[in-house]
Amino acid sequence: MNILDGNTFYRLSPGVRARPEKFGLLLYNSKDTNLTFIKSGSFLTIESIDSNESIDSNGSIDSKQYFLKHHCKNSYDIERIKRLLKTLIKKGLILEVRSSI
Amino acid sequence: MKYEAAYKDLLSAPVNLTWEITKKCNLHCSHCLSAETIKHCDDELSFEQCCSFIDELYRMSVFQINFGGGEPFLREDFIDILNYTHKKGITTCVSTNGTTLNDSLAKKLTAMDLLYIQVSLDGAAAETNDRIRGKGSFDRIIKGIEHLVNHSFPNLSINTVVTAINFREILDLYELGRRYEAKTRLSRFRPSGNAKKVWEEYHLSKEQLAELSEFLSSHRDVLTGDSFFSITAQDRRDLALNMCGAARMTCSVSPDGKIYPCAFLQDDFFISGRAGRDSFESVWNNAPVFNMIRNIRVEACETCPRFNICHGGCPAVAYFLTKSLNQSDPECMLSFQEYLSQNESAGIAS
Repeated sequence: MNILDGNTFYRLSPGVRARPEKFGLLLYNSKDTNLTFIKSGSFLTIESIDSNESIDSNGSIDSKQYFLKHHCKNSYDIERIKRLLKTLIKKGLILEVRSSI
Repeated sequence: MKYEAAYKDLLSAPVNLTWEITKKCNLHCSHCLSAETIKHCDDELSFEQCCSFIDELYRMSVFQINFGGGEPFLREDFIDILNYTHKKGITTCVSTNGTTLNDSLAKKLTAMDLLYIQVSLDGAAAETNDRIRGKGSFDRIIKGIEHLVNHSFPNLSINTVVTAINFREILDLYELGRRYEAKTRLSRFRPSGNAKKVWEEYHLSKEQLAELSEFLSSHRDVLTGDSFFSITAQDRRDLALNMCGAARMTCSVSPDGKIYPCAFLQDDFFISGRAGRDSFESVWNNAPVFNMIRNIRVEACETCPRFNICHGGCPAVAYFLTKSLNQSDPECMLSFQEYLSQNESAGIAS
Protein backbone atom coordinates (compact mmCIF):
# COMPACT_ATOMS: atom_id res chain seq x y z
CA MET A 1 0.00 0.00 0.00
CA ASN A 2 1.23 3.51 -0.51
CA ILE A 3 0.16 7.09 -0.20
CA LEU A 4 -0.48 9.36 -3.11
CA ASP A 5 -1.65 12.38 -1.30
CA GLY A 6 -0.64 12.92 2.29
CA ASN A 7 -2.60 10.35 4.26
CA THR A 8 -4.92 8.85 1.67
CA PHE A 9 -5.00 5.18 0.67
CA TYR A 10 -7.07 3.47 -1.98
CA ARG A 11 -8.47 0.00 -1.41
CA LEU A 12 -10.69 -2.24 -3.48
CA SER A 13 -14.35 -2.02 -2.52
CA PRO A 14 -15.91 -5.13 -0.96
CA GLY A 15 -16.83 -7.61 -3.69
CA VAL A 16 -14.32 -6.21 -6.15
CA ARG A 17 -11.48 -8.44 -7.30
CA ALA A 18 -8.48 -7.43 -9.37
CA ARG A 19 -5.69 -9.12 -11.21
CA PRO A 20 -2.66 -7.83 -13.08
CA GLU A 21 -2.67 -8.13 -16.85
CA LYS A 22 -0.26 -6.99 -19.56
CA PHE A 23 -2.28 -3.84 -20.16
CA GLY A 24 -2.60 -2.95 -16.46
CA LEU A 25 -5.32 -4.15 -14.10
CA LEU A 26 -8.51 -6.08 -14.73
CA LEU A 27 -11.23 -5.45 -12.16
CA TYR A 28 -14.28 -7.64 -11.60
CA ASN A 29 -17.23 -6.55 -9.50
CA SER A 30 -19.10 -9.50 -8.02
CA LYS A 31 -22.10 -7.24 -7.32
CA ASP A 32 -22.92 -6.93 -11.02
CA THR A 33 -20.28 -9.21 -12.69
CA ASN A 34 -19.03 -6.22 -14.70
CA LEU A 35 -15.43 -5.94 -15.80
CA THR A 36 -13.28 -2.83 -15.89
CA PHE A 37 -10.10 -2.78 -17.94
CA ILE A 38 -7.61 -0.27 -16.59
CA LYS A 39 -4.91 0.44 -19.11
CA SER A 40 -2.39 1.58 -16.55
CA GLY A 41 0.59 -0.49 -17.71
CA SER A 42 2.91 -1.01 -14.79
CA PHE A 43 1.94 2.24 -13.03
CA LEU A 44 -0.56 0.57 -10.70
CA THR A 45 -0.30 -2.72 -8.83
CA ILE A 46 -2.33 -4.43 -6.14
CA GLU A 47 -0.94 -5.13 -2.72
CA SER A 48 -2.63 -7.12 0.01
CA ILE A 49 -2.46 -6.86 3.76
CA ASP A 50 -3.91 -9.26 6.30
CA SER A 51 -7.13 -8.16 7.86
CA ASN A 52 -9.54 -9.59 10.39
CA GLU A 53 -12.56 -7.71 9.15
CA SER A 54 -13.02 -8.95 5.62
CA ILE A 55 -14.17 -12.51 6.23
CA ASP A 56 -17.54 -12.17 4.59
CA SER A 57 -20.84 -13.97 5.01
CA ASN A 58 -19.71 -16.65 2.56
CA GLY A 59 -16.96 -17.56 4.98
CA SER A 60 -14.47 -16.55 2.33
CA ILE A 61 -10.97 -17.66 3.16
CA ASP A 62 -9.64 -14.48 1.65
CA SER A 63 -9.05 -12.46 4.79
CA LYS A 64 -6.95 -9.83 3.09
CA GLN A 65 -7.64 -6.27 2.06
CA TYR A 66 -6.34 -5.11 -1.27
CA PHE A 67 -4.77 -1.72 -1.84
CA LEU A 68 -3.64 0.00 -5.00
CA LYS A 69 0.02 0.84 -5.16
CA HIS A 70 1.41 3.29 -7.68
CA HIS A 71 4.85 3.29 -9.28
CA CYS A 72 4.86 6.74 -10.84
CA LYS A 73 8.18 8.47 -11.20
CA ASN A 74 7.02 12.02 -11.89
CA SER A 75 4.27 14.46 -10.98
CA TYR A 76 2.67 14.25 -14.44
CA ASP A 77 2.01 10.53 -14.05
CA ILE A 78 0.85 11.00 -10.46
CA GLU A 79 -1.76 13.50 -11.64
CA ARG A 80 -2.98 11.05 -14.28
CA ILE A 81 -3.22 8.29 -11.68
CA LYS A 82 -5.17 10.60 -9.37
CA ARG A 83 -7.72 11.29 -12.11
CA LEU A 84 -8.03 7.57 -12.74
CA LEU A 85 -8.54 6.86 -9.05
CA LYS A 86 -11.28 9.50 -8.87
CA THR A 87 -13.11 7.72 -11.69
CA LEU A 88 -12.76 4.37 -9.95
CA ILE A 89 -14.15 5.86 -6.74
CA LYS A 90 -17.09 7.29 -8.66
CA LYS A 91 -17.77 3.86 -10.14
CA GLY A 92 -17.70 2.35 -6.63
CA LEU A 93 -14.78 0.08 -7.44
CA ILE A 94 -12.35 1.47 -4.88
CA LEU A 95 -12.67 3.27 -1.56
CA GLU A 96 -10.66 6.19 -0.34
CA VAL A 97 -9.29 5.51 3.13
CA ARG A 98 -7.86 8.31 5.21
CA SER A 99 -5.22 7.28 7.69
CA SER A 100 -5.03 8.89 11.10
CA ILE A 101 -1.31 8.11 11.36
CA MET B 1 -4.64 5.46 -19.08
CA LYS B 2 -8.27 5.09 -19.94
CA TYR B 3 -11.15 2.66 -19.78
CA GLU B 4 -11.65 0.58 -22.85
CA ALA B 5 -11.93 -3.03 -23.78
CA ALA B 6 -8.49 -4.56 -24.04
CA TYR B 7 -9.47 -7.90 -25.47
CA LYS B 8 -6.64 -8.01 -27.95
CA ASP B 9 -4.12 -8.94 -25.27
CA LEU B 10 -4.15 -12.54 -24.11
CA LEU B 11 -5.47 -12.47 -20.56
CA SER B 12 -3.52 -14.33 -17.89
CA ALA B 13 -6.63 -16.44 -17.22
CA PRO B 14 -10.22 -16.61 -18.37
CA VAL B 15 -12.61 -14.13 -16.79
CA ASN B 16 -15.15 -16.91 -16.44
CA LEU B 17 -15.46 -20.55 -17.26
CA THR B 18 -18.53 -22.57 -18.18
CA TRP B 19 -18.50 -25.90 -16.39
CA GLU B 20 -21.04 -28.58 -17.15
CA ILE B 21 -20.81 -30.15 -13.75
CA THR B 22 -23.08 -33.15 -14.34
CA LYS B 23 -24.43 -35.23 -17.16
CA LYS B 24 -27.64 -36.00 -15.26
CA CYS B 25 -30.74 -34.27 -16.53
CA ASN B 26 -34.47 -34.71 -15.96
CA LEU B 27 -35.55 -32.88 -19.13
CA HIS B 28 -34.94 -33.67 -22.80
CA CYS B 29 -34.94 -30.26 -24.45
CA SER B 30 -35.04 -30.45 -28.21
CA HIS B 31 -32.37 -27.76 -28.65
CA CYS B 32 -29.99 -28.90 -25.88
CA LEU B 33 -26.49 -27.67 -26.51
CA SER B 34 -24.89 -30.33 -24.31
CA ALA B 35 -26.90 -33.44 -25.16
CA GLU B 36 -24.31 -34.96 -27.52
CA THR B 37 -21.30 -34.26 -25.30
CA ILE B 38 -23.09 -35.68 -22.30
CA LYS B 39 -24.09 -38.83 -24.17
CA HIS B 40 -20.44 -39.60 -24.90
CA CYS B 41 -19.12 -38.49 -21.53
CA ASP B 42 -16.94 -40.65 -19.28
CA ASP B 43 -17.45 -40.58 -15.51
CA GLU B 44 -18.05 -37.17 -13.94
CA LEU B 45 -15.18 -35.59 -12.04
CA SER B 46 -15.29 -36.59 -8.36
CA PHE B 47 -15.85 -33.99 -5.62
CA GLU B 48 -12.12 -34.09 -4.81
CA GLN B 49 -11.20 -33.57 -8.47
CA CYS B 50 -13.68 -30.68 -8.68
CA CYS B 51 -12.14 -29.03 -5.59
CA SER B 52 -8.66 -29.47 -6.96
CA PHE B 53 -9.70 -27.86 -10.25
CA ILE B 54 -11.37 -24.98 -8.37
CA ASP B 55 -8.09 -24.52 -6.45
CA GLU B 56 -6.32 -24.15 -9.78
CA LEU B 57 -8.85 -21.59 -11.00
CA TYR B 58 -8.47 -19.69 -7.74
CA ARG B 59 -4.68 -19.58 -8.13
CA MET B 60 -5.12 -18.14 -11.62
CA SER B 61 -7.63 -15.54 -10.33
CA VAL B 62 -10.55 -16.73 -12.45
CA PHE B 63 -13.40 -14.48 -11.34
CA GLN B 64 -16.49 -16.49 -12.14
CA ILE B 65 -17.64 -20.05 -12.83
CA ASN B 66 -20.86 -20.61 -14.77
CA PHE B 67 -22.19 -23.99 -13.72
CA GLY B 68 -24.49 -25.85 -16.06
CA GLY B 69 -25.07 -29.40 -17.14
CA GLY B 70 -27.21 -31.48 -17.40
CA GLU B 71 -29.16 -30.13 -14.50
CA PRO B 72 -26.60 -29.08 -11.87
CA PHE B 73 -28.94 -29.49 -8.90
CA LEU B 74 -29.28 -33.19 -9.71
CA ARG B 75 -25.67 -33.68 -8.71
CA GLU B 76 -25.79 -34.71 -5.05
CA ASP B 77 -22.70 -32.81 -3.95
CA PHE B 78 -23.47 -29.68 -5.98
CA ILE B 79 -24.22 -27.49 -2.95
CA ASP B 80 -20.86 -28.54 -1.48
CA ILE B 81 -19.18 -27.60 -4.77
CA LEU B 82 -20.89 -24.20 -4.70
CA ASN B 83 -19.86 -23.62 -1.09
CA TYR B 84 -16.28 -24.58 -1.87
CA THR B 85 -16.18 -22.21 -4.86
CA HIS B 86 -17.62 -19.32 -2.83
CA LYS B 87 -15.10 -19.91 -0.05
CA LYS B 88 -12.42 -19.22 -2.63
CA GLY B 89 -14.12 -15.90 -3.38
CA ILE B 90 -15.16 -17.03 -6.87
CA THR B 91 -18.58 -15.85 -8.06
CA THR B 92 -20.88 -18.51 -9.51
CA CYS B 93 -23.74 -18.40 -11.94
CA VAL B 94 -25.89 -21.52 -12.08
CA SER B 95 -27.90 -22.28 -15.17
CA THR B 96 -30.80 -24.49 -14.09
CA ASN B 97 -34.00 -25.76 -15.62
CA GLY B 98 -35.68 -24.76 -12.35
CA THR B 99 -37.67 -27.97 -11.94
CA THR B 100 -35.72 -29.22 -8.92
CA LEU B 101 -35.97 -26.00 -6.93
CA ASN B 102 -38.02 -26.26 -3.77
CA ASP B 103 -38.54 -24.14 -0.68
CA SER B 104 -35.62 -25.44 1.35
CA LEU B 105 -33.17 -25.35 -1.56
CA ALA B 106 -34.28 -21.80 -2.44
CA LYS B 107 -33.65 -20.76 1.18
CA LYS B 108 -30.16 -22.25 1.11
CA LEU B 109 -29.33 -20.58 -2.20
CA THR B 110 -30.58 -17.18 -1.03
CA ALA B 111 -27.99 -17.27 1.76
CA MET B 112 -25.15 -17.46 -0.79
CA ASP B 113 -23.88 -13.95 -1.55
CA LEU B 114 -21.76 -14.81 -4.56
CA LEU B 115 -24.44 -16.76 -6.41
CA TYR B 116 -26.36 -15.80 -9.54
CA ILE B 117 -29.07 -18.08 -10.92
CA GLN B 118 -30.50 -18.18 -14.39
CA VAL B 119 -33.57 -20.30 -14.92
CA SER B 120 -34.25 -21.50 -18.45
CA LEU B 121 -37.72 -20.86 -19.83
CA ASP B 122 -38.42 -21.11 -23.54
CA GLY B 123 -41.86 -19.63 -23.87
CA ALA B 124 -44.25 -17.28 -22.09
CA ALA B 125 -47.04 -19.73 -22.89
CA ALA B 126 -46.93 -23.26 -21.50
CA GLU B 127 -47.60 -24.76 -24.92
CA THR B 128 -44.62 -23.01 -26.50
CA ASN B 129 -42.19 -23.81 -23.71
CA ASP B 130 -43.34 -27.42 -23.42
CA ARG B 131 -42.89 -27.99 -27.13
CA ILE B 132 -39.19 -27.27 -26.63
CA ARG B 133 -38.49 -28.37 -23.05
CA GLY B 134 -41.02 -31.17 -22.60
CA LYS B 135 -44.60 -31.65 -21.51
CA GLY B 136 -45.48 -30.19 -18.11
CA SER B 137 -42.13 -28.41 -17.76
CA PHE B 138 -43.59 -24.87 -17.90
CA ASP B 139 -45.55 -25.26 -14.66
CA ARG B 140 -42.60 -26.86 -12.88
CA ILE B 141 -40.22 -24.11 -14.05
CA ILE B 142 -42.58 -21.35 -12.90
CA LYS B 143 -42.92 -23.05 -9.50
CA GLY B 144 -39.13 -23.14 -9.25
CA ILE B 145 -38.90 -19.43 -10.07
CA GLU B 146 -41.56 -18.69 -7.46
CA HIS B 147 -39.62 -20.55 -4.76
CA LEU B 148 -36.66 -18.25 -5.40
CA VAL B 149 -38.86 -15.15 -5.56
CA ASN B 150 -40.60 -16.11 -2.27
CA HIS B 151 -37.20 -16.03 -0.60
CA SER B 152 -36.29 -12.76 -2.36
CA PHE B 153 -33.36 -14.35 -4.12
CA PRO B 154 -31.58 -11.25 -5.43
CA ASN B 155 -29.62 -12.30 -8.52
CA LEU B 156 -32.21 -14.04 -10.63
CA SER B 157 -32.51 -14.02 -14.39
CA ILE B 158 -34.83 -15.90 -16.71
CA ASN B 159 -33.03 -17.16 -19.77
CA THR B 160 -34.64 -17.85 -23.12
CA VAL B 161 -32.96 -19.32 -26.17
CA VAL B 162 -34.57 -17.30 -28.94
CA THR B 163 -35.97 -19.55 -31.66
CA ALA B 164 -38.58 -19.27 -34.38
CA ILE B 165 -40.87 -21.22 -32.03
CA ASN B 166 -40.89 -18.64 -29.21
CA PHE B 167 -39.95 -15.51 -31.15
CA ARG B 168 -43.41 -13.93 -30.90
CA GLU B 169 -43.34 -14.27 -27.09
CA ILE B 170 -40.16 -12.33 -26.35
CA LEU B 171 -42.03 -9.28 -25.11
CA ASP B 172 -44.29 -11.48 -22.94
CA LEU B 173 -41.21 -13.21 -21.53
CA TYR B 174 -39.72 -9.82 -20.76
CA GLU B 175 -42.90 -8.81 -18.92
CA LEU B 176 -43.03 -12.13 -17.09
CA GLY B 177 -39.48 -11.45 -15.89
CA ARG B 178 -40.49 -7.99 -14.67
CA ARG B 179 -43.41 -9.46 -12.70
CA TYR B 180 -40.93 -11.65 -10.83
CA GLU B 181 -38.37 -8.84 -10.58
CA ALA B 182 -36.01 -11.06 -12.52
CA LYS B 183 -33.75 -9.92 -15.31
CA THR B 184 -34.50 -11.18 -18.80
CA ARG B 185 -31.63 -12.88 -20.57
CA LEU B 186 -31.87 -13.78 -24.22
CA SER B 187 -29.49 -16.33 -25.67
CA ARG B 188 -28.67 -17.09 -29.22
CA PHE B 189 -29.84 -20.36 -30.74
CA ARG B 190 -26.69 -21.95 -32.20
CA PRO B 191 -26.34 -25.16 -34.18
CA SER B 192 -24.41 -27.10 -31.50
CA GLY B 193 -25.41 -30.38 -29.84
CA ASN B 194 -29.06 -31.35 -30.36
CA ALA B 195 -29.69 -27.95 -31.89
CA LYS B 196 -28.15 -29.20 -35.13
CA LYS B 197 -31.10 -31.57 -35.53
CA VAL B 198 -33.73 -28.83 -35.21
CA TRP B 199 -31.77 -26.01 -36.81
CA GLU B 200 -33.94 -25.73 -39.91
CA GLU B 201 -37.13 -25.55 -37.86
CA TYR B 202 -35.89 -23.36 -35.02
CA HIS B 203 -33.44 -20.81 -36.42
CA LEU B 204 -34.58 -17.24 -36.88
CA SER B 205 -35.35 -15.84 -40.30
CA LYS B 206 -33.53 -12.73 -41.49
CA GLU B 207 -36.65 -10.67 -40.79
CA GLN B 208 -36.80 -12.04 -37.23
CA LEU B 209 -33.10 -11.31 -36.69
CA ALA B 210 -33.70 -7.71 -37.78
CA GLU B 211 -36.67 -7.44 -35.42
CA LEU B 212 -34.68 -8.96 -32.57
CA SER B 213 -31.89 -6.46 -33.11
CA GLU B 214 -34.43 -3.63 -32.83
CA PHE B 215 -35.98 -5.20 -29.71
CA LEU B 216 -32.57 -5.36 -28.05
CA SER B 217 -31.90 -1.72 -28.89
CA SER B 218 -35.16 -0.64 -27.29
CA HIS B 219 -34.72 -2.89 -24.20
CA ARG B 220 -31.27 -2.08 -22.91
CA ASP B 221 -31.93 -3.90 -19.63
CA VAL B 222 -32.16 -7.26 -21.42
CA LEU B 223 -29.02 -9.29 -20.83
CA THR B 224 -27.39 -11.02 -23.77
CA GLY B 225 -23.89 -11.92 -22.55
CA ASP B 226 -21.89 -13.09 -25.51
CA SER B 227 -24.89 -14.02 -27.61
CA PHE B 228 -25.81 -11.32 -30.04
CA PHE B 229 -22.73 -9.29 -30.91
CA SER B 230 -23.21 -10.26 -34.56
CA ILE B 231 -26.53 -8.40 -34.64
CA THR B 232 -25.86 -5.78 -32.00
CA ALA B 233 -26.61 -2.26 -33.11
CA GLN B 234 -24.17 0.55 -32.32
CA ASP B 235 -26.37 1.75 -29.46
CA ARG B 236 -25.89 -1.49 -27.47
CA ARG B 237 -22.22 -2.06 -28.06
CA ASP B 238 -21.28 -0.95 -24.56
CA LEU B 239 -23.65 -3.46 -22.94
CA ALA B 240 -22.09 -6.79 -23.84
CA LEU B 241 -19.12 -8.41 -25.52
CA ASN B 242 -18.33 -7.10 -28.98
CA MET B 243 -16.41 -10.13 -30.11
CA CYS B 244 -16.10 -13.83 -29.58
CA GLY B 245 -14.77 -14.58 -26.09
CA ALA B 246 -13.77 -18.19 -26.79
CA ALA B 247 -10.26 -18.88 -25.48
CA ARG B 248 -9.87 -15.15 -24.84
CA MET B 249 -12.28 -14.43 -22.00
CA THR B 250 -13.83 -17.82 -21.37
CA CYS B 251 -13.67 -21.54 -22.04
CA SER B 252 -15.69 -24.60 -21.18
CA VAL B 253 -15.35 -27.87 -19.26
CA SER B 254 -17.50 -30.98 -19.69
CA PRO B 255 -18.68 -33.20 -16.79
CA ASP B 256 -15.72 -35.56 -17.31
CA GLY B 257 -13.24 -32.68 -17.42
CA LYS B 258 -12.67 -32.18 -21.15
CA ILE B 259 -11.65 -28.59 -21.82
CA TYR B 260 -13.01 -26.76 -24.86
CA PRO B 261 -12.51 -23.14 -26.00
CA CYS B 262 -16.24 -22.49 -25.68
CA ALA B 263 -19.43 -24.27 -24.66
CA PHE B 264 -20.63 -23.96 -28.26
CA LEU B 265 -17.52 -25.63 -29.69
CA GLN B 266 -17.97 -29.00 -28.00
CA ASP B 267 -16.72 -31.14 -30.82
CA ASP B 268 -13.90 -33.70 -30.49
CA PHE B 269 -11.76 -31.56 -32.75
CA PHE B 270 -11.71 -28.80 -30.11
CA ILE B 271 -10.76 -30.86 -27.04
CA SER B 272 -7.78 -28.99 -25.63
CA GLY B 273 -6.99 -30.79 -22.40
CA ARG B 274 -8.51 -32.48 -19.41
CA ALA B 275 -9.20 -31.02 -15.96
CA GLY B 276 -7.73 -33.29 -13.32
CA ARG B 277 -5.04 -34.55 -15.70
CA ASP B 278 -3.55 -31.48 -17.37
CA SER B 279 -2.47 -28.18 -15.89
CA PHE B 280 -5.24 -25.73 -16.68
CA GLU B 281 -2.77 -22.85 -16.78
CA SER B 282 -0.81 -24.69 -19.44
CA VAL B 283 -3.96 -25.42 -21.46
CA TRP B 284 -4.99 -21.75 -21.28
CA ASN B 285 -1.58 -20.48 -22.34
CA ASN B 286 -0.42 -23.14 -24.78
CA ALA B 287 -3.15 -25.41 -26.11
CA PRO B 288 -2.83 -25.40 -29.92
CA VAL B 289 -6.62 -25.32 -30.34
CA PHE B 290 -6.90 -22.28 -28.07
CA ASN B 291 -4.17 -20.51 -30.04
CA MET B 292 -5.87 -21.41 -33.29
CA ILE B 293 -9.16 -19.90 -32.08
CA ARG B 294 -7.33 -16.76 -30.93
CA ASN B 295 -5.77 -16.38 -34.34
CA ILE B 296 -8.91 -16.77 -36.41
CA ARG B 297 -9.04 -14.08 -39.07
CA VAL B 298 -12.30 -13.61 -40.85
CA GLU B 299 -10.74 -11.78 -43.77
CA ALA B 300 -14.04 -11.32 -45.57
CA CYS B 301 -15.19 -9.16 -42.66
CA GLU B 302 -12.14 -7.01 -42.13
CA THR B 303 -13.23 -4.26 -44.47
CA CYS B 304 -16.79 -4.25 -43.14
CA PRO B 305 -17.88 -1.02 -41.39
CA ARG B 306 -19.24 -3.17 -38.54
CA PHE B 307 -15.98 -5.07 -37.99
CA ASN B 308 -15.20 -3.27 -34.72
CA ILE B 309 -18.64 -4.16 -33.39
CA CYS B 310 -18.61 -7.90 -34.05
CA HIS B 311 -15.15 -8.93 -35.36
CA GLY B 312 -16.67 -11.48 -37.70
CA GLY B 313 -19.27 -12.91 -35.33
CA CYS B 314 -19.51 -16.33 -33.73
CA PRO B 315 -17.01 -18.92 -35.04
CA ALA B 316 -19.14 -21.76 -33.62
CA VAL B 317 -22.10 -20.85 -35.82
CA ALA B 318 -19.78 -20.46 -38.82
CA TYR B 319 -18.08 -23.81 -38.05
CA PHE B 320 -21.25 -25.86 -37.70
CA LEU B 321 -22.97 -24.28 -40.70
CA THR B 322 -20.05 -23.90 -43.10
CA LYS B 323 -17.45 -26.33 -41.66
CA SER B 324 -14.96 -23.48 -41.54
CA LEU B 325 -13.86 -21.24 -38.69
CA ASN B 326 -12.67 -18.47 -40.98
CA GLN B 327 -16.07 -17.70 -42.41
CA SER B 328 -18.29 -14.76 -41.58
CA ASP B 329 -21.07 -15.48 -39.14
CA PRO B 330 -23.96 -16.54 -41.42
CA GLU B 331 -26.39 -14.58 -39.21
CA CYS B 332 -24.46 -11.36 -39.51
CA MET B 333 -26.45 -8.13 -39.21
CA LEU B 334 -25.10 -6.66 -42.40
CA SER B 335 -26.05 -9.70 -44.47
CA PHE B 336 -29.68 -9.59 -43.33
CA GLN B 337 -29.84 -5.81 -43.74
CA GLU B 338 -28.66 -6.19 -47.33
CA TYR B 339 -31.13 -9.01 -47.90
CA LEU B 340 -34.00 -6.98 -46.49
CA SER B 341 -33.16 -3.84 -48.43
CA GLN B 342 -32.87 -5.85 -51.68
CA ASN B 343 -36.29 -7.37 -51.00
CA GLU B 344 -37.70 -3.98 -50.17
CA SER B 345 -36.44 -2.43 -53.39
CA ALA B 346 -37.79 -5.44 -55.32
CA GLY B 347 -41.17 -4.85 -53.66
CA ILE B 348 -41.15 -8.16 -51.79
CA ALA B 349 -43.10 -7.96 -48.55
CA SER B 350 -41.40 -9.55 -45.53
